[in-house]
Amino acid sequence: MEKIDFNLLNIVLLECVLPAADIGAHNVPTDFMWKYSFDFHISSMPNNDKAVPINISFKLYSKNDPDEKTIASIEILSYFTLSGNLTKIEHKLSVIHKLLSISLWNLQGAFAAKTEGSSLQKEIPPGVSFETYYETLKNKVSNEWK
Amino acid sequence: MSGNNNIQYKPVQIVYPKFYINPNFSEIKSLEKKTIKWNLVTTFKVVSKNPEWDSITISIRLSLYREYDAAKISELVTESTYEIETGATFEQKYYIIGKLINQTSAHAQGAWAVKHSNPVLLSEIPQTYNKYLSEETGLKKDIYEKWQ
Repeated sequence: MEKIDFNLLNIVLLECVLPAADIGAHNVPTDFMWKYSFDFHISSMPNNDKAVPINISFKLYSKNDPDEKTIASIEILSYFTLSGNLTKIEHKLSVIHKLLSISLWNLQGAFAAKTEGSSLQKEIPPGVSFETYYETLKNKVSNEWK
Repeated sequence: MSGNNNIQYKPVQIVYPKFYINPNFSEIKSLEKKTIKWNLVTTFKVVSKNPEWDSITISIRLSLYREYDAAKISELVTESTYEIETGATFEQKYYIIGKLINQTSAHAQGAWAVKHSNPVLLSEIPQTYNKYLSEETGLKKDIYEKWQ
């Protein structure tokens, strides 16, 4: 039976830009929108474990701003290691989906901590359906997870 | 918004009621992994908002101790609140609670990493995924009692 364990070794706050003054009461669903991006790499370590650093970033924009000026932004790196062995691509994809979700949740927690006491604290970067990137993730995992 | 078999849920609030660093450890230069111990306490409560939505708050108290004398080095309490559609079966509730506990514990990890300024302490990341589910035997009983 295929089995793999993972560890979250480190979380690094790469960027967090917040408004200089509290933006006060607002209604995000109608006024604001989040945009996100993510990337990751899979590399083999000397002991044959895998290193999986995941970058994920969210930026908050005003829907009414034609220039789409960023109101707030955050980017983190969650660094995972994997030990064990998987051969089936679907199993590997399942693990990567799990790590991407954890990284996103790490970012939600970090954003709430960085915005404590401000009106932005209640604006939680939303969930992402990583399954919609199935083909992209499958190709990347096939190429990098040797 | 996430879902399981059409039961929708989303996080609506993440707060940190307590963050503590023992002053004796705030300037610590090194910490051997085998001399420290994590303690993770997880609870949850369910509040019925209306016939369509319940509110679930997951509370995680994450404590880091020095093992030989049980000195508390640091502690973080995370409370994440989610809105969830009513009508879930018991199996769905069990699945969703497990997922929300994992999500909240990842919130705690993210906050831990940005709240600590001491590089030694922020480099200690607790491994929390499925921790509660693997150690807690009373979860199903809790769901029966707390989530009608």
